[in-house]
Amino acid sequence: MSAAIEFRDVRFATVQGRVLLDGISFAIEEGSTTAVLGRSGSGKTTLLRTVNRMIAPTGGDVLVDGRSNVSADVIALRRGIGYVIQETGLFPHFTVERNVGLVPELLGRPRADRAQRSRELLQTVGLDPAKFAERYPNQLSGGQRQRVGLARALAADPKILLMDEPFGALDPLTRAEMQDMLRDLLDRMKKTVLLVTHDLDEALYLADRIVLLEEGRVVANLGPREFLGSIDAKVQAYIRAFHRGEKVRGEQKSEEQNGASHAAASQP
Amino acid sequence: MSAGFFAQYGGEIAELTVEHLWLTGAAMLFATSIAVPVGVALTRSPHWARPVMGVANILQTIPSLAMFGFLLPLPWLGERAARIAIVALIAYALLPILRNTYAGIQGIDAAVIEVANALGLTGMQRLFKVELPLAASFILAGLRTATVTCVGIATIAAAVGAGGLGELIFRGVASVDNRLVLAGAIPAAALALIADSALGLFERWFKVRAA
Repeated sequence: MSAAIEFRDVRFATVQGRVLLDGISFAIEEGSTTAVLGRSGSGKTTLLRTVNRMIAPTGGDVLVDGRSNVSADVIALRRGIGYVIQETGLFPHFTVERNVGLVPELLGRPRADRAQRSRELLQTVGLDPAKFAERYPNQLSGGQRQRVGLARALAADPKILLMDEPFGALDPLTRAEMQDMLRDLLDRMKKTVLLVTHDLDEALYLADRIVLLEEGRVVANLGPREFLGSIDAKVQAYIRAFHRGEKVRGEQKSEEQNGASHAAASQP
Repeated sequence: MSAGFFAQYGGEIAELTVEHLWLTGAAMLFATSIAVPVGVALTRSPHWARPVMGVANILQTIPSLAMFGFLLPLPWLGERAARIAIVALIAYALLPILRNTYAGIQGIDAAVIEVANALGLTGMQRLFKVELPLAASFILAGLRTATVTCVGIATIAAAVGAGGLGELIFRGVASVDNRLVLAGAIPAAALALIADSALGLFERWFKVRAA
């Protein structure tokens, strides 16, 4: 198998001189899912955005399908890469169907084909087209919106899917549902996926490789099992920090719930 | 007002109303075709927003009679009163349209713009498929403010002989004939109210679609 995406010594510094990516090199095999893990500010989103040239690296090279994306036609490059972000960015003035069918529309596909494709994709992401195709984004729940975002990213049948904290804004139950749906979908579709997340469990569940970033550098690039069993101090520190964070969040949540039930109890 | 009054002035009122509409309409057409593209351009280079908006703001602040006064001695412009009137009205209409076009586009959810770019929309596709539709209700609100302002200021254009309903008002004041004043004032006020509610309807229609 060849590399669908390859980072070669990728560097990025802001105009003010802050270094966000500091010589990143690794490759992502075609049809595999790679999770990029890291804390806020580790550079993971910046790295993801170099793939479809939403950000132009200040050094090094990003190869997509073996070709440097520097010389690529940026519009064609982007149309061939699916993009899913936490905020979904659905077009509020388009129906669900038109949101999903937008890239095919840009590619000049006939209207009937687009409609059919949209409806197929809605089915694929677990939304009943009869019920949802004509709705507007403001008539959807957070999870449903994210499903539409995913369907839209798949519309032009891209080989590569970039996902930036796709389920980060969802409640734990919905998130788990979405992860199941995505895993099932990826098993069938064999896309090359670059998934940015800070959620270790999500990375372990969905990814074939886990890349850990710290201050713009790759500190680990391992399979999920090796990652969990790694004796690398930085990997262990991340795992510990993640679980501690989960615990703190869990406690906060139960306190909130207690608080809420107290408040409810005190009401006449 | 008696039937005799209408028999005497009805034709003139209608004529001046049409003239008033023509002055306002022409000015709005020019102002929109200047301010919307400039507003869009400013979203592309926001560092120009402040100075350009500042100039429009100064134009807006000049008292209307003074504005007509400034334009009167200019060559070509000064030759015809209607030209002066239209140019002055354009100057007043620019700021609301410009400001609302700029703010409407700048106010679009950043994630929507991000995705529009990431999906591979060209600049023009992004503008026409995403930005203008989503900013439409804002831009229309600017047009509404500008139109109402222009209908009002157009009455003053009669002072330089540009016609419009102001002519009846000025003539009425000069001849101490309240009926004549009202014959100009009532249609002018009605025009402003009609323009306001008609454009307001459009604005709401676009807003519902974008919600």
